Order: sequence, then C-alpha cells, then structure tokens
Amino acid sequence: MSKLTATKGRSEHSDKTTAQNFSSNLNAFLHPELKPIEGGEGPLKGIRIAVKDNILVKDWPSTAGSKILEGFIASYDATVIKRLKMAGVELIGKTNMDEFGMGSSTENSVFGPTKNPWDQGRVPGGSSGGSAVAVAADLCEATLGSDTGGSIRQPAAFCGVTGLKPTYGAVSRYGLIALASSLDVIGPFARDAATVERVFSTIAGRDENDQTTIDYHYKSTEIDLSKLKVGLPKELWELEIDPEIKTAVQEMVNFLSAQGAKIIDVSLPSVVYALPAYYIIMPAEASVNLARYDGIRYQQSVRRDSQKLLERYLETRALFGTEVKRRILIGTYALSVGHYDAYYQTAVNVKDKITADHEQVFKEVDFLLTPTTPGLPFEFGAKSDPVEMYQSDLLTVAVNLAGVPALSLPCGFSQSGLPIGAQLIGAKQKENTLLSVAKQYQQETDWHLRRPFASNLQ
Amino acid sequence: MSELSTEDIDHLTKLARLTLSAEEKDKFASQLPEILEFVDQLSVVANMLAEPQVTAVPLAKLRNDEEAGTKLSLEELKQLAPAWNNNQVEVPAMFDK
Repeated sequence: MSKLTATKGRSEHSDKTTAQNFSSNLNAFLHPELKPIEGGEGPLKGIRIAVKDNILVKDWPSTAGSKILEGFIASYDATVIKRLKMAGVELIGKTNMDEFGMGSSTENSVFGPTKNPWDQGRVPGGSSGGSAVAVAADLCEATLGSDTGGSIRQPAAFCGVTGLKPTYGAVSRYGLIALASSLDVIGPFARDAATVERVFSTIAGRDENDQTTIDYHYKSTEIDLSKLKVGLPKELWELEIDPEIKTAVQEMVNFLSAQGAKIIDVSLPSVVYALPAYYIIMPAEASVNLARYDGIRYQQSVRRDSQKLLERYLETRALFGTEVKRRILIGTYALSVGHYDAYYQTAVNVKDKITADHEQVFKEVDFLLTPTTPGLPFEFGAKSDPVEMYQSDLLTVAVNLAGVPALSLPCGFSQSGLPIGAQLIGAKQKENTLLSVAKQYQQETDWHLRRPFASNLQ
Repeated sequence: MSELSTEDIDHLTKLARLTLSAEEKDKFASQLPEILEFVDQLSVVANMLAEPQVTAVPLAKLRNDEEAGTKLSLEELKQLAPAWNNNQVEVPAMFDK
C-alpha cells in the first residue's frame, strides 16, 4: 500500500531563499508588477489564491497568454473572483497559460513556457500550467484554472497536485475569456482535495450573468468507501498508456478494493470518438469566440492610423499565435457551407451519444477511475506535431463532452521521479462523491504531500 | 468529407480574416489536412447517430429577461476600445468613398 512506500517529511525544503529563487525560474506567474489584493473576513480568510490569466480580476491585466490582449485591463470581476473576494481570500496574481487555453503544455504562451518543478526540462502540462505549478512549487495554497478538454486535470497530473473539473454549468463562466463555450468550466487546484473542496463550494452555484449555470448548492458528504461501486471503463484502460502510469493507478484500484469498494469493468462505447469530436466542436466554437479580437475592441490595435477597416482588422489578428490560427482555420472549415453537417453536426451528435453513455454507466457505478494522462510529463519541444499533442487529451476530453465532473489526484511517481495522476469521473453534480473518495485516499497516502524541491535542488 | 488544397487554405484564411506568415503557410499546408484526416474518423459513425441537434447546448435554457442597467461607467467602458471620438468608438470606414 502506498502509505508504506511514500516517504513523509522528505518534502520539506530547509532553505526558503533557495526555494524562492527556484520558484521564479518556473515562469508560473505573469504580470509580476501586480500587488496582491488583500483578503477580508470570511470562511477562506488566510488562503492565498492565484488565478489563470483568462479569468478577469477588476483593474488587473488579463491576456489569456496572447499578444492580442496586451494592454487590456479588466473593468469588472469575474463571478468566481467576486465570490472568492467575499469569502476573504487574498488574490496574489495571474498565472501563465497556453494562448487562449489552446495547448497541453503551456508552450503556446506568448510569455514563454512554464517549467515543471519536478524536472525543469519538462512541460507542466496545459493549458492551466501556471496554475498547477504555482501550487506544486508552494507559491500559494490554491489556484483557479479552466478546463475545456483536460486543461485542469492534465497539468494537475503532470505537477503532482489535485485539480477539479466541475460539472458543466456548476461554476459561472461570467468573466472567463471564452475558448469553447459549450465545454469551458472554471475549477480549482490545491495540494489536497480538502482545499479544492473549500474553494469549489465557494465558487459554485447559479449566476444570473451566466444562463448556462445550474441551481447547485454543493454539500460536502462523507461517503462510505465500502458501499461504493467503482467502474473501470475498458475503452480508456485499453488505450496506449505508459506502463508505470497504469501500475500506479492500478494500485489505487487495489486500495479502494481493500477498503471494500466493488470494482466493476464497464463500457463507454462512444468514448473512442471523443477526441475527433472534440477537435471539431472546440475549434468551431473558438473560431466564433475569437472573432471579437478585431483591433476595434480592447486596447490592442495595429494600424490604428489606417483609414481602411480591413487593414486594421487583418494586421491586428496577425498577432494571434500559430496554434490559435490553426484552430481558427479548422473551425472555419468545419462551420462552412457544405461541411457543417459532416463535421459540426456529426460531432454534436457524438457529444450527445457520449453524454447518454455516461448517464447509462452511472446507473451501474458511483464513479469511474482511469489514469489522467496516457504519458508522463514530456520534454519541451517533444510534441511538435499537432495531432500528437492532441493525444495528450485522450483520457480527459470525453468528460467535457459529457458535461460531468472529474478530479485528478496524485497516486504515485515514476522511477524517474515524475508525478502520476489518477482521474475520478462522476455523474453530473456528484462532485461530493469524487471529493470524499479523494479526501479519504489522501488521509491514507501522502503522494499529494511530496514537494519537488528536494529532487531539484540536489 | 474532402481534401484541403493550398487554395482552400488561402480561402479559409480570407474567410477567417487571418494573416499567415510564409512559415505558417508552409506548416499548415501539411498539418491542416492531417488534422482533418484525424477528425474524419467521425464519418464512420455519422449515419449511425440519432436525430440531429442544432447546437451543443439547448438554447431554450438560455433566455433571460432583458432589463436596462448600468454596469460599467463611461470611464470603464473607455478602457475597452482603443480609439474614441466624442464618447463613441472610432472605427475606420468600411467602404471606399
């Protein structure tokens, strides 16, 4: 059992200054000039939180990792920020990300990549890489990220922290810079599930400014592990997954089984089509959402002196990064006359089928357990082919298409000392099951307590 | 589903109001067809699926009563566009005179 093998205490770093120098090399934060916004009284008083740079904080810049939003200062607080401020948190800064959330490595940020604190030659995952690293490197207690196809869970797994992608509509998107509106959701990162739960319960719930939010009053519940049925979806376990990852997640299955949970093999036949469906719906919606960056709105405007609208428009939009342009073109193609039915329509139908398959499987089991990622954190530049990079999302995208919640938590380390994440997937609004299981697992194991410093400072 | 030629990419670039660098044009000429080939896996299941839906999120849920209100001051609004003239956003002409 993991409790016996994990070494408690090894994680503490002795020299605070060395740790701080180490942190600044990671490039987790953007806009270092920002002064923290002090927290007031409230249930989260004393918690320091950093926020992904696509979530608006009034009077702070928000670039979403893009040059096209340079100079933009948010004029209002996102609903999640308003709720966190009311709960008394201290906001300490904005975190780095792939441009507009497009990427799985944070290499697509115009401000340079964030580094993985466990091995600075490797990526931290993405798109919320900065948020995962800020927690992993102990720069704050919690962070907010956003997840469209795995952008919270994959970096959480790569950095050895806990991250929750809530039910679609459980958290308001008001003040979130949109990528794909039917899939986007904001969620928290922290070292442990207990802190993730405190932040989630603060930001969740209906918001009149986001009509896709649901009436949801989150209630923490202690769930008896011995009464649970855990599903192992065969289509996901059968994918090409690093053997070390499979073994570590299998250890977690053994742990649950030893606690009396019933382990059941289940099937989600449609999930094999999740990745191609995702790479139609996401770029299609992104191409529409990104039409607003035109040199007329926001501060960034190239050829402001030009008398021709089209010139200003085209030259301002030339500031988009390559991955963003690639996805806008794919989205434009998928939505154009003659292709709409074959692509977008089919993808939306697949999305419905994936949702139905999940609803069906949750009649049999309480939650699903899979690895979070097919591979370990990879080296910078290792995935230059876009389709190969897209495969990083293989195990996470179906969750976004189904609109269900999922959580990634540390469940082991590779021989080379890199973190491994397990993914718990629940039925809609069953975050309480996932968080309760994760909290109980973290009481018995200490993977989540390990710090990267010791291995990096040697 | 169809192939994607260099001319198609030029046309899409125009439709999407983008400008590509020479390097991006080169890259996309091979990458975009590769991505389309990847998503084309869906053509296998297209006919097996049920009634088509039009949007990814049912629209009926999204209606809200419209009410006038002032959420942002003029000063705050002015941060949201680069050029103003007499409290109006300044935009170049769309057509030649």
